[in-house]
This record gives sequence, C-alpha cells and structure tokens, in this order.
Amino acid sequence: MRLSEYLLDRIFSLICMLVSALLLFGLLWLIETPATFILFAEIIFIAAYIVALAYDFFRKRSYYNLLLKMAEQMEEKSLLGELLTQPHFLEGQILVDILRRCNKYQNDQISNAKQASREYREYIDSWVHEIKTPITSARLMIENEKNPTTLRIDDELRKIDTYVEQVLYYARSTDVEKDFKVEKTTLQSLVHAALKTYSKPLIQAGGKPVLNGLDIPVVADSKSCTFVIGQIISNAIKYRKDNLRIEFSAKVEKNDVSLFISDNGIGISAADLPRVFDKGFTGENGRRYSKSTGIGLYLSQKLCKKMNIVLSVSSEPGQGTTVTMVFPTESYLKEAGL
Amino acid sequence: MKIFIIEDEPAIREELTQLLEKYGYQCASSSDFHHIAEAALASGASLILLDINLPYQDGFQVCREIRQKSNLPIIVLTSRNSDFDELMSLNIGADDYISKPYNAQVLLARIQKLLARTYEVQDNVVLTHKGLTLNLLKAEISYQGQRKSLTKNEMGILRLLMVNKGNIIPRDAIIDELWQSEQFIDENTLNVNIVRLRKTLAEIGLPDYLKTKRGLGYCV
Repeated sequence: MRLSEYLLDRIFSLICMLVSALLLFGLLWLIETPATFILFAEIIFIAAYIVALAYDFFRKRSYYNLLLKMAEQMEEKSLLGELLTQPHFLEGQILVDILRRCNKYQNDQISNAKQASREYREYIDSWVHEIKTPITSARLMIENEKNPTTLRIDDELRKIDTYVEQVLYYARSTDVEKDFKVEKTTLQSLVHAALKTYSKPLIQAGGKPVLNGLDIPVVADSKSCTFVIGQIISNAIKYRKDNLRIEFSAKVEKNDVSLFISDNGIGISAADLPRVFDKGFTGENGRRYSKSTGIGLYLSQKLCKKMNIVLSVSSEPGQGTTVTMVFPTESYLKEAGL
Repeated sequence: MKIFIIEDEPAIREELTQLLEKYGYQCASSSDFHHIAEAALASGASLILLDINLPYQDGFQVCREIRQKSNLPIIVLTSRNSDFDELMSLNIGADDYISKPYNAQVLLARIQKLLARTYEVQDNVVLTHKGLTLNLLKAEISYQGQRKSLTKNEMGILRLLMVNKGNIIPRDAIIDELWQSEQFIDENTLNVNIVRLRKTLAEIGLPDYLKTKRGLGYCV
C-alpha cells in the first residue's frame, strides 16, 4: 500500500475537506474575523484531518503489507484465512471473516476431491485384481483345449491383459506415496520379461528381436521397467514397416547405464517428436493408425521420472525410432542420497 | 506326485486340475475353506498351490498354519500382484510366488523345479499318445522299444502337440511356446526343427506321426 494510492482512494474525502476549509475561511472572513484567527482555525481544522488520515493510513498499511507478505510466502495458500490475526478496523474484520469462510469452503472441497480420487484409485486397483481372475481361468481353459480358434481367443485375452496392466500402472502413477521396489536385476532379464509379454504379436508381425550385450546389472523396479519396455515394444510393433527388427543394446558409463531400443519402423516426424510424451498426443502416425491412444509413452515417461530413469526418443522418419532409457547406477543413487 | 490346489474360484480349480493331470500329476482340492489347511495336510500332497484371496481366512493365514506343521513346498498364485503380497508370501514361508494371469508353461516349470529340489528323485513325467511315449525329463521318445533323444526345441514342439492330442496347433503358437526359452527362434528355425523331428520319428518307425495341416498348422 503506497501513500499516493491511499490518497487517491480518499480523493472524495479530501475534496470535501478542502471545500469545507474554503467555506470556513469564507464564513470567518464575512464576519470580519482577524486574519490570524482565521489562520489558526484553518490550521486546527486541517491538522486534525491529517492526523486522522495518517493514523488510518499507517494502521492499514501495516496490516495489509503483512497480509500480502504472507500470501506470497505461504505454500498452501488456501490456509491463509486460518493464520491471519484479527485486525482492529472494521473493513479488515469483514475481509478476514469472508476470507476464512472462503478458505474453509475451498479446503472442504479440496479434501472431498482428494478423498474421491483416492477412493476411485482404490476401486480401480481392486477392479484390476478382480478382472485378473476371469482372465486367468479363461487362459487356463485355452491351455487345456488348444486349437486355432481358442488360440486366437488367447491372443485377444493377452491384449485385454496388457490393457488391464496399463490401467493398473495409470492408477499407480498418480499415487504420490507409491514407492517402488528397487532390486538388483539385469537389462537382459528386464528385456526378456517384456518380450515374453508381447511374444505373440511380435511373432505374428514376423518380428525379430536382437539382443546385444545386455548382461549388465542395474538396480530398478523390475515390474515397472518391464512395463515401460513393453510399451516401447508394443509401439515398435504398431508402427512397423516390413521385416520388423527390434534391437536392444546397452552402454555403460560412470554414473549410468543406457538401454537403447531401436526399431526399423516408420519413425516419427520432427514436428511430432517433442510432443510424444504428452498425454493424449497421437500425432501424424496416430491419425494413420486408429489404435493410438496417446497414453503409453505418457505413462512410461511418468513412471520413469518417478524411478529416476531418463527416457528419451530420437527418430529418423522412414528409417526407425530409438528409445533410450538411462538407468542411474547404484553407487550414483547412493551418492545423491536417493 | 500329488498337488493340492487351494483356490476358491471353481473354474480355475477345475482348469488347473485338468492342466496338471495332463502333465501327469495327481490333483486334489477342497471347497471347505474353514479347514483347508488340515485338508491339504491330510491329502498327502507333495506340493501345494495357494491362492491369497480366500473366504474365511486369507492365504497368508493358511500358509502360516501349514508351515507350523509341515515343510511342504508351497507356491502362491494370486491376482494381488503388489510387492507387499510377494514379500509377505515369501516371508511367511511360501517357496515361490506367481501372479495371475500366469503362463501355464511357467507354472509347470516352477512346479517341476520345486519338486525336483525338494524330493531330489522325481518320478519320470511321461506323455503317451498313439503309442509314442515322450519322457519330459530325459527328453527322449520311445516307440515299440526303440529310443531316440530330442533337442530342447524338438521336445518343446512334440510336447505341445502331444498334450493337445489331435488338435491343430498354428505355427505362431509353436514359435511362442519355444520362445519361453532364452532364444528367439523364427519361422526358418521352426521349419528346420520340424524336419529334424520328422526324421527322428521316421527312424523309430513313425513316418507320418506329425501331420501338416496346410495353412493352419501341425497336429499329431
């Protein structure tokens, strides 16, 4: 609150004061009061007004400046109302009262929304576990009665299962406190697990996975990493040209281990490349292939960020795409205190 | 070898029983979940498959109860694939943990491994179809007294076809089955293996045992 702003705000009262000072001067002059008395009367009159104004200004300035400072520094701004001291002037009291009521309403709404989203997430979690039972029994039935028809049904069941997994990881990725089970594993076993999940579509696409020197130890959450690698494999299958080839290779550096997943598919145009991790972004390729949802890479990126894995994509349109996952090494994680 | 299945979903119980019996195991189960631990111990089974979500008490409780009296190998099968469940299962004495939906071959392999480790000597698991016997442990076929050994891939193909007696199995399903190993074989490797398998079968007097169904797949 600046003095000029304050005075501008009081412009009407100032004008009234000046007018009444002039009128007073006129009145006293008319009844032929000596000039010294007129001057004294005017000084008393104006001084009283200025003192009242100054008192009001300093009182309000100190209060509102404190309020502004608090609003700037607080992280949970919706708690502002709770922390305010009661001011000694009427407007401020009304303001604080309204603020408190608004904040209380806001906080109630926020906690309701949080509660609802937590309940929804829990429901999704239990739904995923329930749906797995019928999928399991259906797959066992097929295992006991394999023929061309049931095996095609099995392919569909596997697709359902991968979609269900995606739901599970989506629900988990929004969970702030979900911690990962980090364990010692190798790139080889992560890639193998992911390839097994997508073995059937890969074989049907005539794809050939090539694994080069993946016997490198990493510390990672195997389930989530397998899921991410699976999403990348599934993209490679979806956006393939003839003779699909997926090559997995690795590079060890001082603080990290990189896993490169390269395919020889249709690639991603330079315009689309920066946005592939955006939620719901399907781009040019997505419009050509109806099955794109724009969730897979978004979710992968989200999970990787939580696991301190750097996920990036480079691509040559028409030549292929390379996805890189950079795993921090155990010693580096320890040094960083993670 | 007898396997006791503790699973509350009747469909899964039934299908698991069928599957395991195909591979030469005996199965037992019970739907009395009040006294399921006693039933499992009384059945004389060599291994227990245990679900976690059960009526009356959860699988952890059952596992603990069994462990108090016996060291029978236990494999936990569950749809609750959280890390907590996995750790919990292993901490209270389960020997292995597989989450649903499990791959039947993986399940069979783990059962076999656990049984072999626990009992050291194991009965030979054999499949017989139209007079041909396949010994899964020795990777050996025999017909009218003649024996021949098979490679891992050849045995995988023959096992898949013999388990599904008479049904046509498409080529991609055979490749998928063989992918369970660490190598990723392709169409050409499959052709080579089929030819070699046919030759071996012909050598012991079964030249037309493995039939090709054009455009569909193979069957025995």
